[in-house]
Amino acid sequence: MTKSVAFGRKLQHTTPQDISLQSGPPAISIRNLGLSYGGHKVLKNINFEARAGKITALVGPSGCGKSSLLSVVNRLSDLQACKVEGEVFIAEDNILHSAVNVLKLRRRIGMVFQKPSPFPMSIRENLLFPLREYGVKGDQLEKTLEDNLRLVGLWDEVKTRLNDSALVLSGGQQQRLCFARCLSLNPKVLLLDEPCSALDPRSTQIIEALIWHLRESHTILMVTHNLAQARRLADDVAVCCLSDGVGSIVESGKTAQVFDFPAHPVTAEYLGFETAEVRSSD
Amino acid sequence: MMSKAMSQGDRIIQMGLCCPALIICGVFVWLLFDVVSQGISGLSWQFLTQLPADAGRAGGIVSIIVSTFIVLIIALLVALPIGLGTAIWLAEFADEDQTGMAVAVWVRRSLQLLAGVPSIVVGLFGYAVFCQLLGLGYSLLAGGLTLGCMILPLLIGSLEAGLRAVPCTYRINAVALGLSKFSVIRRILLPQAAPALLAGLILSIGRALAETAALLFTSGYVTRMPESVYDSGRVLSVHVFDLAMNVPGGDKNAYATALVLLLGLLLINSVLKKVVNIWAAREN
Amino acid sequence: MYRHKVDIKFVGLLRLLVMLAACIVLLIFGFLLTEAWPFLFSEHGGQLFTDAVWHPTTGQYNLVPVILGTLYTTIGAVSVAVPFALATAIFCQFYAPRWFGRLYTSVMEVLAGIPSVVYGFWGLVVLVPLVASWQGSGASLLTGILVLSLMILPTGTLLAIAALKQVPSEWIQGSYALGLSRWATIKNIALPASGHGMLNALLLQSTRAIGETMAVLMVCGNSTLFPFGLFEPVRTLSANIALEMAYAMEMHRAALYSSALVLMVMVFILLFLNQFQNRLESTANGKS
Ligand SMILES: Nc1ncnc2c1ncn2[C@@H]1O[C@H](COP(=O)(O)OP(=O)(O)OP(=O)(O)O)[C@@H](O)[C@H]1O
Ligand SMILES: [Mg+2]
Repeated sequence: MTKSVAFGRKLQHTTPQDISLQSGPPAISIRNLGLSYGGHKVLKNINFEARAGKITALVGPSGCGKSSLLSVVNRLSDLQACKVEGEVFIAEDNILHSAVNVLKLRRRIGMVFQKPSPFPMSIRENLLFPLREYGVKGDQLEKTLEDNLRLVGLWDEVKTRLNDSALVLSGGQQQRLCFARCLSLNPKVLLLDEPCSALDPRSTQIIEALIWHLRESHTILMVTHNLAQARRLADDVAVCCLSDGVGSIVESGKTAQVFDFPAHPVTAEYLGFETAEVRSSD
Repeated sequence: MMSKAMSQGDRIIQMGLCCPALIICGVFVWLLFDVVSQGISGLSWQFLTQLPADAGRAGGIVSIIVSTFIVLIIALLVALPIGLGTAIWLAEFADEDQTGMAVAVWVRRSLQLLAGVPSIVVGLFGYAVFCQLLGLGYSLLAGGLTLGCMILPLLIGSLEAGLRAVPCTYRINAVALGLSKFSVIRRILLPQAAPALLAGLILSIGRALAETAALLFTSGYVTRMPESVYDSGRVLSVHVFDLAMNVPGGDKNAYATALVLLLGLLLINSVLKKVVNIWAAREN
Repeated sequence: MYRHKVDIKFVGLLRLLVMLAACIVLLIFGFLLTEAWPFLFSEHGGQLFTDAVWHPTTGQYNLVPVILGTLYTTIGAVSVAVPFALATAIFCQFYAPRWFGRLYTSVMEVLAGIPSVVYGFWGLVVLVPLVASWQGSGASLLTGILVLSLMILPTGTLLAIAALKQVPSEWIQGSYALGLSRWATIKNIALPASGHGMLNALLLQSTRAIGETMAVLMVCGNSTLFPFGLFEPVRTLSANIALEMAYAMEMHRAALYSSALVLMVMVFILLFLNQFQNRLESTANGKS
């Protein structure tokens, strides 16, 4: 309990630079998590670990509560009328504790959504507006802008029109802009909710390369419906399935282990499609 | 096409229903034609730029127009901050927790009641509070404050609708970035809702301009050019009323003033349509 | 709940503004009550209904004729306006060419914004002499009803059209597909399905009519005698206030504030009916 409070305090005195200097990415550990929307139970008994600096893929059928699970990790669930129980530890701190400073928490955890969603402002302002909000000033702003746009491979495409509206960019470009916006705040954890599902193969490839690049320096928790993608990118896989209308994690572990030797019949059934797909593509 | 064909009975009913529509059209054409044809003869540059003379029978209405503007501006200065603040709270903060939702229900109820209060009663309230209790007397300030109370429900309603129409993804993304609500509202929601807010504002101005009864005992009857907001001053609609009822031989100028009032409202209405169109175009 | 520092101040400010906005109606009610108090809650209170006439200079305060005048004009105006609004709404929605419906709607939108003082003025200059040439002095209950009904017609028609538009077009198409005539479709499907919206429109326009001042003040003749006939002059509560407030003192003033309270109560009853009816409708929808 005291730890959580300390966590809040610690973050209150950090600036973006401080966070990047902090020791590496934290591990996320979810224990006995349950979630319900107004009495309707959606998740129960969720237990798994996302290792520090690794990519963990969260797979499972539609509606089993993957997005809801992600939204607990940065407390976006606070916005909805939902009840959360259990514990979510990031590094040493239970972030579900009520004394946690959720604003600093969200700052340390970047999130990218399924649908590209830049703010209705210029490309430049999309990045600078959150930075300024966090007290970054002067030259540092322009530098962060350029660095992050380069990081997502957008700099050469937009450097001549930084002042144009971000809404005229293509879907793939918008999604990369959202990545850049979220990375500019130097998060240590990334929550990706089907970040490629609205994109064409080419943009998907670019984003996948980016995610791969961010491994090691970030702990990444990623929802995907594309099992091939999970296999390509993820170190670990957690399989979420519905039983009696309530979602739970039926199996988790190293990607190769789960994909090649599924221990649970439900997993095997769910992955059944995938094995066929891999064979045919091989 | 089958379903479009009309039976004999339907044709008779169509004729029957056509009559009321035509009668209504006829009456309104009569009304408008009367006001326009009678008013246009009195309308001239002098009429708009001269002071009223001989209790309004002669001269123009420049002081009346100035008073109207001042009252409107005061009403907006009062209603806009309160209205915008309330609308922002109702749209962005009320749903955060149980208490907020319960309070919002009562706030909405209270605003509905306020919208239903007859304008003469609001006028009495303004007279008791602003003119007497606060000692403002018959003054433009008292009139503007009273009018501000009157247009508040309409203003809040349209401002809130405008804010709620902004897509939710912006809010979710901003929260995920840990941004403060204040800057999200200032930088994203308000600019996005701007055309809708403007439309609500214009609608309220129209309503305020048409108001008479609430101003009878608050801004008063004086036709002089107002020198400050503490002076009494007569607005356009009160001028029409006074000329028609209390000034024998004032009909000609009453018609002209009514026409000015109608033209002002028409102008506001067409600006409103433009703003709504711009908004609709931006949505697509 | 965790908030940014700026947000804490911001929310505080917003709450203050919300309180202010929500309190206005309470303030109105409170001030009316305190101003009316010396009259309403003293030995004078009963005079509102027992005195012979409304004659404040001699200390007589019978409000009944004025209340009746208000009711007559309102009921009269609504009963004139309803058939017209309903008929034109049905015509526009089902019988008229589409361009006519659209044109008519936008014309009504413009007319809905015409100040009531313009209606009153037109009534005074045009209708009063017209009625006078037929019977009486012209400034009468009938003229008031006509002007008032004209005033509430545009908004009433717009609301009625909106209510008809709410009826799902599949129902209408389905009925046509069964070979029913338009009139049968309207009578059996469109009108029952839009009844709630129509009633809503009717109640809202009644509150407007009951509280209207200028239009009736200018054409009703404003006699405080008991209203007997269509061609007799009448006075409404709102007109009574507008006429006498300027010179009212002490008890007379308190009596006028009391009459404003009476008017408020009448309006609130209508608003309450409207809410009640909305709630009925929403529970009915919830069940089906
Ligand atoms: N705000 C909400 N209120 C009520 N129920 C919700 C809410 N959000 C989600 N749910 C319910 O929770 C369940 C899980 O939804 P969630 O969006 O987390 O699924 P998902 O696994 O992300 O599905 P998908 O793969 O299609 O994105 C669904 O049954 C959904 O109906
Ligand atoms: Mg999802």
